[in-house]
Amino acid sequence: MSPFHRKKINMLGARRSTLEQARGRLVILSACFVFAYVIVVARAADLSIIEGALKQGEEISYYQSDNEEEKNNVRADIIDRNGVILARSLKTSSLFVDPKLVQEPEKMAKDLHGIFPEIPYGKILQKVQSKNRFVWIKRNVSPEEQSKILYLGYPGLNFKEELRRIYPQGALTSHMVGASGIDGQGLSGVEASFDQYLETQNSPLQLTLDVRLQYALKSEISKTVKEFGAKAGTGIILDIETGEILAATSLPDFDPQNYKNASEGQIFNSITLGAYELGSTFKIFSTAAILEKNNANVSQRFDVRKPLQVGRFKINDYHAEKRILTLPEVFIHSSNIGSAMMGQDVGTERLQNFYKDLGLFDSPEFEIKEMGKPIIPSPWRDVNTLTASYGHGIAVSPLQLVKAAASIINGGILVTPTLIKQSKIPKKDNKKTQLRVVSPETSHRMRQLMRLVVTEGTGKNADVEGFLVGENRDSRKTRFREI
Amino acid sequence: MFRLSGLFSICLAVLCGALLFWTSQSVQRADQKLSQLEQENNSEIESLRVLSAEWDYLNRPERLEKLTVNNLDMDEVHAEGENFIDASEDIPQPISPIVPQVKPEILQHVSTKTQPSKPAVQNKSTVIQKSEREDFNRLIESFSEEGQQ
Repeated sequence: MSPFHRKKINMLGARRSTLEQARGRLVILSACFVFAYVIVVARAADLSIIEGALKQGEEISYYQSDNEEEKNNVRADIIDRNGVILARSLKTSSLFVDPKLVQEPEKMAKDLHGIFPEIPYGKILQKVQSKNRFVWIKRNVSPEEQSKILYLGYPGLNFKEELRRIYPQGALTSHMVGASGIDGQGLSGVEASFDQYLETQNSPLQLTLDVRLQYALKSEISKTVKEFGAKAGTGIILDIETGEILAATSLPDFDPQNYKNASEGQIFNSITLGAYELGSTFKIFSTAAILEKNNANVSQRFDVRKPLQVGRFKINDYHAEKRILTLPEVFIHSSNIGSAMMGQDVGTERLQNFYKDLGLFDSPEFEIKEMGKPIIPSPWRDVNTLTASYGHGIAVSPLQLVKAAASIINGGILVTPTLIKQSKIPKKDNKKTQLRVVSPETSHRMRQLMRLVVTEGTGKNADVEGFLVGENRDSRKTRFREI
Repeated sequence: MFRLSGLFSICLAVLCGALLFWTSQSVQRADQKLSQLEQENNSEIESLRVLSAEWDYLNRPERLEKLTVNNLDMDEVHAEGENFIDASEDIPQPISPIVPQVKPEILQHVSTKTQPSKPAVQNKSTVIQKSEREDFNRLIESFSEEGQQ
């Protein structure tokens, strides 16, 4: 008989019914297991065959989601308009000690002082003998220093991976890009004002700056600062159509890698924080005001033969022409007396309103937090109308000046200076309508007048062949020029 | 005594167990390889980040200028030099003249959402016309004449 032969047992009565009940239960239990197994097999087939075939060729896998989360921990890059890196966080190692595990503190401190001569021996020894279980020895050590420490092989010394902010362009864009602290938090410039964005976003923050223009501008401003023995210098290159700042430099500047050692003077951003009496550059605005508000003709004349006496104030010309000048001549020869007369003709209220429309009375909306306030005469007397016509008695930031001048030159639409490429950060006020500050006719006339300053006036050196350069300058010790 | 189906079930269970063990080991091996590859990948990405930052550091305009001056027979272009640009007419005019018909009295709100700001009259020519230069000279002459009167 075969061992697998099933022996037939016939039972009767109560025994038979119990056996059949047990068999029924076994069948149900087996069916449950089979059902569960079928589900597992079906899911395995789905994962390996169906989903595998569907996702074939795709680069996405569930592991990438982990990477993205990891990427978020890295502070986003800041790049210029051409993609040149202005700020980037790179992984570095920081050295810490667990003093409880240190066996020979003096010897360890001596060896560490040999590797880090800039840290005093006593300070290292103090850290090594601390009662805490975690003490930083040095943050962001170089790979070479790290390898030396590993070679020493002291127990208790460990490394922690950290991120260090690197600024490849150094001080070139320091006031605009700003700096960040050792823990990655923004301290100034875009680093501070876009701290949240940089912490949370993966895509780099693109600025409107162009490092090549920035360098050219900084070189020129540095030369001028040297030539005049000036304490500081500021330059801005602005696209008058879009308001994009292509270059902006404020000297003296600082190394963002070494922010904590920078002096107050170096950290001071004169582009946005400074408030200066910008002198004859304001003649652009007083001239535009008389053209716009009084509908003045270019043949209108101003008697500038004698100084203008207003109460106890006397207004003189730096380059006295001592004759009757036409409106363009007042502008070309930068006559203070003529400009004051223009302001007088326009009237206090209308001139104030005009300056207000140009944004000279308020801090401009800008992407950097360090923003100064203009100094406006209070109370505003009639003499202030005269002095404000040639840029005295009123102090504004260079950014405000550039904004106002660009608004007059670009066809008359108020410009909003910006440092961030629009495609990257959606602007909240995109729906906002733009404000016309002067008519296109006045704007065109102002461009003609600025061109005359170069061809006929005091700015002949700026007449570069091939370009229509327009200029307005302040002929005192300081010099401002818009091109 | 075993039934044939019982033996088959035992064999199936052993086979399933072996298959499960083999799958588990394969997954572990694949997981290890994946984490190793990920580590290598991250290391490569970090290296690329360092290298691209270094590339931009080495291409600083200041450094390029120094290298050019020291190693190449190139000199700075001076704007005031002779023959800087021979044909200035070839350079497009940066700002088109705007000559509107009516001068607005009050400030106008201009919507730029759909249409960007355009000059009132677009100059057809993109180069500096001689007639414009003459107009300019005439304007200057008229100013100086008026001033002398």
